[in-house]
Amino acid sequence: MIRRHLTDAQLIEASVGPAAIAGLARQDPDHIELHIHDCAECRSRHDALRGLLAETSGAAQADADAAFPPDRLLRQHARIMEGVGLLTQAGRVISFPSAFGRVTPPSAASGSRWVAAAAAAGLVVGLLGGHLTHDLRVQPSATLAGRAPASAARAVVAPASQPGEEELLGQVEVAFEGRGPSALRPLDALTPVAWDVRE
Amino acid sequence: MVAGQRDRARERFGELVGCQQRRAVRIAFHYLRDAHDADEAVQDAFLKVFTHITTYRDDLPFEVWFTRILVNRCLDVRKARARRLKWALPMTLSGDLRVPDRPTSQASAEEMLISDERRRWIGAAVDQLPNRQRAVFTLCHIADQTTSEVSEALGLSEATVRVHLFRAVRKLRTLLAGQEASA
Repeated sequence: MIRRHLTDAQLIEASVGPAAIAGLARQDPDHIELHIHDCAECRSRHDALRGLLAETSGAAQADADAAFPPDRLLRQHARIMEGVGLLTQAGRVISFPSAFGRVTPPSAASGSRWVAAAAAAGLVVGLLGGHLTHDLRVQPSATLAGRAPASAARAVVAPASQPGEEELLGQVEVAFEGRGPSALRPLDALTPVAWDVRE
Repeated sequence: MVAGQRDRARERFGELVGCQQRRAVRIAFHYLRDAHDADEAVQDAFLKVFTHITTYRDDLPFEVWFTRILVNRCLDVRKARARRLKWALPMTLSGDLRVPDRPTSQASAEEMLISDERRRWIGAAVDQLPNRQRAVFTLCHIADQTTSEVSEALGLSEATVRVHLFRAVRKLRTLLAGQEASA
């Protein structure tokens, strides 16, 4: 009967220990264990591998224990608890005066902002509208006033139609003595006393 | 009353830290191979446990949940160290990286020297393992966890954990055999 030795994979599978393979059904574990029991060479390899793993674990634990002696662990514990203390202090709720305690919900705040924006827009529209209507009312007289320099310019071009200095001064006097532009008449109506005083 | 409850909670957490600290330090030191980094990782992990204690699920053993946090923190520290070392000049091992000698009155000086050398080999070999393999090997062999617990702690399937463990052992065996042959 030809007996084949265990492969490295089988040996490692058998050597990782019951803790590592707990709850898992290995492929034909009885065969591997029987073989290790019967074959001196495989048993030796198996023992060597388990010894290596045990040595690795032992060395790692010894290294860690040497690097962290009890006094260092105590210091570390104290630092951790200090950190925990800082965390619990940071989480303390400070009572705030009741007068400042009410926080406006975001929806109400945005609603009030909309109302303010609408009021501002209404004011702007009203001002512009008022200004435009005022300009439209004033436009005819303004147009006449605007044409005056043009006719004056034409008067420069045609010196024959230029009024004399006496005539111009007379027109100015008439303008001052008249009742003023029509746009100012409503204002005049509000202040009759002033006109009476003037007359 | 609230202050009293807080003090009691802190006291209980202190006891919990005392129970888990040694194991945590072993895992972190084995994983990081640096006392300072291990110290930092363990402290951060415990503080994270404290701040996230409300997210702890009862169906998972506390050790497994804590190990998961600790290993993730160790990974972060290791990544940060790799980034630091990428831009740093190569240097010899500092005092903190070297493992302090253990006081053994019975062992001879020669035995101690061989033992320390051997431990350094083993540490260097474990350090050469890829991240996953090192984590799995550390948790199975240093923290004495089952593959089921390691799979919970690392968020891997149990089959994957077994594959990583198998590869880790195979690589360690090869590395240590090579070191023995060259010695």
